[in-house]
Amino acid sequence: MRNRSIGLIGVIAMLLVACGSSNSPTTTSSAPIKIDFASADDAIGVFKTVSDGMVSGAPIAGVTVRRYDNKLDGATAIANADLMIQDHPDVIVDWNAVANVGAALGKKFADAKIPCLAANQPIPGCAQFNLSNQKMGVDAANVVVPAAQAKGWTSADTTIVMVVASPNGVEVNNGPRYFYITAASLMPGYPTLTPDQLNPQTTVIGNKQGLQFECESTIEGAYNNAKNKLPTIPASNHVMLYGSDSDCAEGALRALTEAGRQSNTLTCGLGPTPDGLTNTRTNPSWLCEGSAFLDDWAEFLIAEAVAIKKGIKVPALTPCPQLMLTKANVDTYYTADNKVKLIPFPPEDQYLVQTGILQKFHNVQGVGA
Amino acid sequence: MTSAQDGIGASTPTKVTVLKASKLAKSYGGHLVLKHVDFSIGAGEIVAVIGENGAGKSTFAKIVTGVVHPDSGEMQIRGRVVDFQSPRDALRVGVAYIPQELAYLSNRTVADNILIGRWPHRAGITSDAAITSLAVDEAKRFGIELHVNWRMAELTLAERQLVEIVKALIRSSQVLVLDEPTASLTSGESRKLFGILRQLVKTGLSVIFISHRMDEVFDVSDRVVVLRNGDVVGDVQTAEASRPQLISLMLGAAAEELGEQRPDRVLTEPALQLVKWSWNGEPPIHDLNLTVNRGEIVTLFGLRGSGGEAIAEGLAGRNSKFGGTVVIEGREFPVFKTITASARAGIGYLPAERKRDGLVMPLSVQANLSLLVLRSLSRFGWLQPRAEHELAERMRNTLQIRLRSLTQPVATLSGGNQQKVVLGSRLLARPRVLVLQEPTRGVDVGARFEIHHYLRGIAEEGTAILWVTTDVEEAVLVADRLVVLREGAIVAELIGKAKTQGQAVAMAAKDAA
Amino acid sequence: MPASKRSDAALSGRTRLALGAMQGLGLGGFYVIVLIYFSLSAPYFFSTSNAVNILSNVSVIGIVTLGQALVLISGGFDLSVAGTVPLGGVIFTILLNRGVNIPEAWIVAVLAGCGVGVANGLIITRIGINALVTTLGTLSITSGLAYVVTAGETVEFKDLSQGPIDNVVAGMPLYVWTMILISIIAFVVLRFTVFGRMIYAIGGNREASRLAGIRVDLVTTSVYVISGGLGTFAGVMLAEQLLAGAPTVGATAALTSIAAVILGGASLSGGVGGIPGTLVGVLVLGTIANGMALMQVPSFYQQIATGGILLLAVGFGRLRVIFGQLAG
Repeated sequence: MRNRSIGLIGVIAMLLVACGSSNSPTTTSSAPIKIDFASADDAIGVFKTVSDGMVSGAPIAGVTVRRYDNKLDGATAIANADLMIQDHPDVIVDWNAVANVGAALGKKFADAKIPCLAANQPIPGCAQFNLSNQKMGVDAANVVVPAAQAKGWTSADTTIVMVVASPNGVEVNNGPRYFYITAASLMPGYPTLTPDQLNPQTTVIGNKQGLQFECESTIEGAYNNAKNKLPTIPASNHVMLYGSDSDCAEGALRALTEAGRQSNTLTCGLGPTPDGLTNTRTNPSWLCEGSAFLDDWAEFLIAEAVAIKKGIKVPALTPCPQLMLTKANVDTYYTADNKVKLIPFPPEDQYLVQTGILQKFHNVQGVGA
Repeated sequence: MTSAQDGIGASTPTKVTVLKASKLAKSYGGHLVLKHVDFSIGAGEIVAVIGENGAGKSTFAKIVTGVVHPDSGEMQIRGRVVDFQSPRDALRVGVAYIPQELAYLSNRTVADNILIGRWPHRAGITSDAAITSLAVDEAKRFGIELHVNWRMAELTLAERQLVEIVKALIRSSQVLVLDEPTASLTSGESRKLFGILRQLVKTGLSVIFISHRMDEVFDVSDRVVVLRNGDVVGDVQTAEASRPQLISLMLGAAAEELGEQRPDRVLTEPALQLVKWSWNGEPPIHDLNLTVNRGEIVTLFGLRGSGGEAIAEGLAGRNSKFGGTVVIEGREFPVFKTITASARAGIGYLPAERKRDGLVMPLSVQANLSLLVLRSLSRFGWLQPRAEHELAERMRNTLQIRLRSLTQPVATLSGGNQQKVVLGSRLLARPRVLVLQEPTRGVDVGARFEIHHYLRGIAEEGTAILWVTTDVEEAVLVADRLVVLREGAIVAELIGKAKTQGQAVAMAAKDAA
Repeated sequence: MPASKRSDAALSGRTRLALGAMQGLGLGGFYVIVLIYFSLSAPYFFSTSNAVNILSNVSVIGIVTLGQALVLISGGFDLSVAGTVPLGGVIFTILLNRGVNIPEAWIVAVLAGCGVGVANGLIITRIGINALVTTLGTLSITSGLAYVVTAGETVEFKDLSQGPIDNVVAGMPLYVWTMILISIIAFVVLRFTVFGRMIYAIGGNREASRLAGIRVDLVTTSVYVISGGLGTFAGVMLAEQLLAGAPTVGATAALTSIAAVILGGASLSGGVGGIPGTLVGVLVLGTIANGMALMQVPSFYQQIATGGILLLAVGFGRLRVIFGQLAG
C-alpha cells in the first residue's frame, strides 16, 4: 500500500507545487511563426511523409514546427489538442483522420482562441485544406469511360466496381461515388443514382452492373474482399474499377489478375503510390493515377498557416494541388523514379503567393519554380 | 466415562441419529467409486472411516458435505431429508468439511481465511480490524494459538492445517468431517486436536474422520467403518475391534504381519556425511554431524520444528543458508546452494508436500515419472516416447502404482499412488543417497506397506537412505538406526533393542508430555 | 506458540529496514522517478495544466481499468471492454440524436454494458468456457455491433452543446472528478465490504471459496457485470469528449487496462491487487504517453520506450524479492 501511496502523492505534489510556474512563452513580433502540427498517424507512410515534410520544411520556410501524432484515434487527437493548446502556438494545424470527431477539436481550439487549419478532414471553426475526391472521381471517369467505349464496352457487359473505405467518412469515398455517377452519365444504361444512394450500405447496383466492397485500408484487405466478391459478377464482364485510393485499386486488380481478367479491366488509381505510377506507365489496364501531391502538402500547409497568422483572408476550403496523371503527362510532373518534379498550382490558391513561402521551395508550377 | 490422555473416545453415543445416509452411489467416468454405502452417526459420536486407497473414503466424505453430488442414494439430517447441491447447503445445516488437500487463500491472512465466507459485517461493510478480532476470539475458543495477521503463505504446512481446522470447527454445529486431519501434525499436535474434538462431541457434535493411522483410530474413535471397493465391509465398535481384524477387512485377505521388525544390521561404509552443519534459522543448529552408511536406512525423528525439515531441505539444496560440508562417498562438497548442485552430487530428494513440490499435477503419470531423467530419454533434444513409456511402465510395475493408464493426469491418482509416482521419479535418477521427507504422509496402509518394502529393498542393494519423519511408528519400523532430533541437535541414536517408540518419543520431547 | 518459517524473521534489524524501504519504493517510487525525468526533459510537463492534461487523458481508460481490476482480482479476464467502450459511446450518441435526454441515454448505455457482463458471466460459469476465450468472443460481438449500429461511420452529436462533462469544476474537468469518484467507490468496495472480500477469495482459490460456501458463480458474474457497465460508462464519457460516437475507439482498451492493473501489483491468477496500485499503473502509462508526446519522440520510438519503461517498472517491484534473496 505504501508504494502506491507514494505514487499518488507524487501526482498531487506535482499538481500543487507546479501551480506557480509560468510556462507561457513570450513571442515578440520578430520571433518566427510557431506552428503546432498534429499528424494523422505517423505509422502510416503516406501521413508520415507529410509530417516529416512539416518538420523539414520549417527551416526552409523560416517557421518553427512542433509535431504530435494523432494515431488515427479520436481520444489521442483530443489529448494532443490539449497539449497543443498548452503550447500557445500561433497557428494549429490538425490532421485528424477520424471522421466526425472534428467538432470536439474545433470547440477546444475556439475556446482557446487559437486559429486553426484542418488538413484533409474538416474541423468546424477551422479553415480547411483538402483534396477533392469528387473531382478525382470525375476526372478518372473521364479517362476510363472513353477508353472503355473505344474498346466497344457497353453498360450491358461492363460492371463498375468501387472499392471504398467507409470508416474514413463521406469525403474520402466521394471518389468512387462520383466515378460511378460520372461513368453512368457518360455510358448510358446504368441505373442513375444520387450521391446519397451510394453509401456504405451499397453492395450491388442494378443487375450486376455495379459492385461495391470495403477496402479495409490495405492492399490485402481489398484483395481478400475482391476475391470473395468477384464470383458474384459474370466472369465474362468487363470491369471499370475505381478505389478510394491506389492501394484499394491495386488489391482489387490483383484479385482480378489472378482470375485472369486483367485484360478485361480498366482502372485508375489515387495516391499517387509508386506502384500506381509504375502501373500508369507500364500497365495497359491502369490508365491514370490521381495525385493529390500529398508528399508536398507540408509546404502548402505551412503557407496557409502563415497566411492565417498574417491576417490574410483565407477561403473556407483551400483545394490542394491535384491532377489525374495519365500516360501522357505523368513524366511532366514526376521523375522516372517517381519523385515529384513539379507541382501544379490551383488557381484558388492564388492568395498563398503573398506569403512568399511557396517560392522558397522552388517546385510549384508558376510560383518561383 | 472418564477420558484418560490416550483413552478410548470419551462419550457414549446417544440415541439421536444426526446423519443417516443410505444407498449412496457415485461413479466417475464409468468407474463406480461408491457402490452401496449405508452410514449413520449419532450425536456426540466419533466415527473413523478407514480403507485402502480407492476404497471411496474421500468420495464419501465429499458427498456427505455437499462437495460432490451422489448419483443415487439419500441423506437425512436429524430425520429430515436433505439434498446438498453445494457445500453451501451443507454448511447451512452445520455440516463442515476439512479436505485432505488444504484449500486456502495463500495471499490472505490467517484471519481472512478462518472467516472466509462469514466475515463479520454490518450491512455488508467489514474491516480488517473486525475480522482480526473475531478470528482471535474463535481461535481462542478452541484453544488453538495462531498468528492471525500472518499471510497463509508464510505459515508451515502444519500451521496451515490448524487454520483449516479452526475454520471448519466454527462452521460445524452438527457434523464435522475430517479427511486425514493429522497427516502433517506431530503426535503432540494430533493429541491436542483430538482433545479438542472430544470436548466438542460432549456438546453433541458428531465427528467423522478418515485416517490411515491405526493408533489414532483406536485412541479416539467410538466406531470404525471399513470401506472396500465402494462398499461398507465392516462397522464395528472400536472397543471390540482388533488391528489385524480391521486390516484384513480393509485388504480383503488375511493380513500378513505388517510391521515386522527388520533384522538388525550393522553397516560401516559411509555414503553420506554431514559435517559441522550450522545455521541461524528455526531451530538454530550448531555443528551437527551425521553419517549414513551405504545400504543403511537412518530415520531422523523429532517433533515438528526440531530441525529435520531444515536438514532435509539443506541436503536437497533448497536452503542455501546452511554452513558446513557434505561428503558423499568420499567426495567433499560445501553445503549445496542450489538444487542442481545437490542433484548433481547424487542426492535424490523426496519433498514433503508432493502436490506442491513434487508433482506437476496437470501432466501425465508418465511425464511426472520421467521428469528428472528427460535428458537420458532424449536424443539430440528429441524425447523418445517409447523409451519414456517403457521406463514408466517398469516403475509402475516395481512400485505397484494403481492407475488406468500411464497417460492419465497424475492429479487423478489417489494420494498413495501419487506418492509412489514422486518416489519413482526420484529413483529413476539413480541417486547414491536418498533423502526422504515424510514419504508416507497421507498414504493408505496398503501403499505404505509397499513403499516401505520397496525402500528396504533398494537399501539392501546399497542405496543410503536418510528418512526424515515425524511418524514415530514408521521411524521405528524401517530404521536401521533411529536418530532423534530435539531443537536442532541430535540427542540420541537408537539401535537394536533401544529402538522403541517409547524411547524415541521420550528423547524427542523436552519434558514428559 | 507455533514457530514459523517467516522469511524476514531471521534477518538482522538493519537488513529488514533496507528491505522495508525497498518495498516502499516499488512502483510508486519508480513513478516519482519518471515524473522527475520528464519534468527535466519535457517542456510544460511540470505544470498544473499538464497535470490536468494527464488526468484528463487517463479518465476514460481509468474507469475501464477500475472494472478490469475487479475482474482480474477475481481471477478472471475481460477482453470485451475493447468492444463495450465503443458500443457504449455509440448507443449513447444515437439515443441522444433521437432526442433522448443525457441521463436516460447514459443509463441505457450502462445497462447495455451490464448485459454484456451478464452474458460473459453466464458463459464462463455455466457453460464453462474460460474467461479469455469468452471475452474474446464477446469482444468481437460488441465491437461488431458498434459498427453495425452506426453503419461503420462515426456519428456526430446533432446538438453540440450536449457535452457538459467537459465543463471544468474546481480546476479539473468533470470527467476527472467522475473517475476519482468511481475510484473511491471501487476502493471502498474492495477493502471494506464483504463483496470485496469475496472477490479476493474467489480469485485466490476458487475451490476453497466454494467449499466455504461462497456463491462463486454469482460473485463471478457480478464482477463481469460491473466491468461491462463501467466499460460502456467510459464509452459514454469518451463520446462526450469527442462529441461523437465512433465505433473505432477503444481498440487498445483491453490490453492497456490489463497492463495497468498488473503494473499496479495484481496477479494474473487472481487474489492479489488493489485500487491504489491500479491507479498508479494507469497514471504511469498515461504519464509516459504524455511525456513522450511533449518531447516529440517519434511514434515508433514511443512504442519501444513504453515497453522498456514497463519492464523497468515491473522490475523495480521485483528488486525487493531479489535483494531479499541475496541479503539472507
